[in-house]
Amino acid sequence: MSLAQTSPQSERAAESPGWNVEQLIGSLAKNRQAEVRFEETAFSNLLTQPLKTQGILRFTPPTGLEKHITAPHDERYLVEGDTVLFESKTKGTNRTLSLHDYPALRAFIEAFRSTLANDVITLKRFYSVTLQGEPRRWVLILRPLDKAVQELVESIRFSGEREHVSSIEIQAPDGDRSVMVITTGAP
Amino acid sequence: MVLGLAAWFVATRTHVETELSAYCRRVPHQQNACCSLNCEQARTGRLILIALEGEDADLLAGASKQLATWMRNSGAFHYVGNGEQAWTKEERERLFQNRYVLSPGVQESTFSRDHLRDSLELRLSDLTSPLSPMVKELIPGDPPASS
Repeated sequence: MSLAQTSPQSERAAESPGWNVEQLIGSLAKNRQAEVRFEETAFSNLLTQPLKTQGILRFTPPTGLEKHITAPHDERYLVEGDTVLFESKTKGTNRTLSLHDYPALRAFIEAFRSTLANDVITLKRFYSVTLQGEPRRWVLILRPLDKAVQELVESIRFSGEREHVSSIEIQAPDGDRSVMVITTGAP
Repeated sequence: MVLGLAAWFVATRTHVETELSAYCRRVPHQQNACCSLNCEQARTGRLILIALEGEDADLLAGASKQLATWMRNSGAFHYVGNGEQAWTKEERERLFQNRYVLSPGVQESTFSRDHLRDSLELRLSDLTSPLSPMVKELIPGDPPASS
């Protein structure tokens, strides 16, 4: 996440002055993979040490999104349209929610879904969007516009190189954060 | 379609049932989805569940929203739930404070040291879930995750 710490001034892309959020998200959508593997580390005030998980992210355009945690426990979060399915083999639970009833969750999901679906209009309905860096190495920073969501999430940072996302960092206002590193395409 | 409405009374059972019956008589015939209105009241007289059934799903959905609005506007209930999650902060706090009274799964053993430890272990996954920002504040005060 070192990119996020450099000054925006120095990151301005002199060799690509017309480069913008729309172009970046367009190129991400054009080159995205249907499945990628991830490793995520959660840092929380409630924990004495970080929690690590691994799994697979799947995206089925335009509205399908799945986070499947495979280790150390087995959990699936499947978004399709306005419905979210939570399935935990570890807990033996299975639950379906409507995003209509959970506006904060909807905003949270749109950060990922709209970015991957090249839907900048929806993304900007929920977030102020800032792009730092240059096409070679960039950071896309989303800050929620809604006050209720701001209480839960301070920022979501996508970092990447060219048309690939390499990590996603979610920062909460209470200091908690998670860092998801996209490792490789799933087999 | 079966719709559950849960509410806390501030009025007596007789009064509320009379008012609900009056409401059902007032709705237009085509929306008279209250054709089967069942009220189940807890022994304490503080909770009722209402199911509307026997009609087209769209009709029932419209009738249930109307009924919920009427109940909220009546001022006779502390809380009227109709499937929405959009609770006020006060409603959330009231539910949270009464979570162990309301949860059917809570037993004395729920609060044993071993059970609490197991519950916390299971709740570790909540911190790695996409829902973490929304649920983590509940974990310290509710290790058993009452529901």
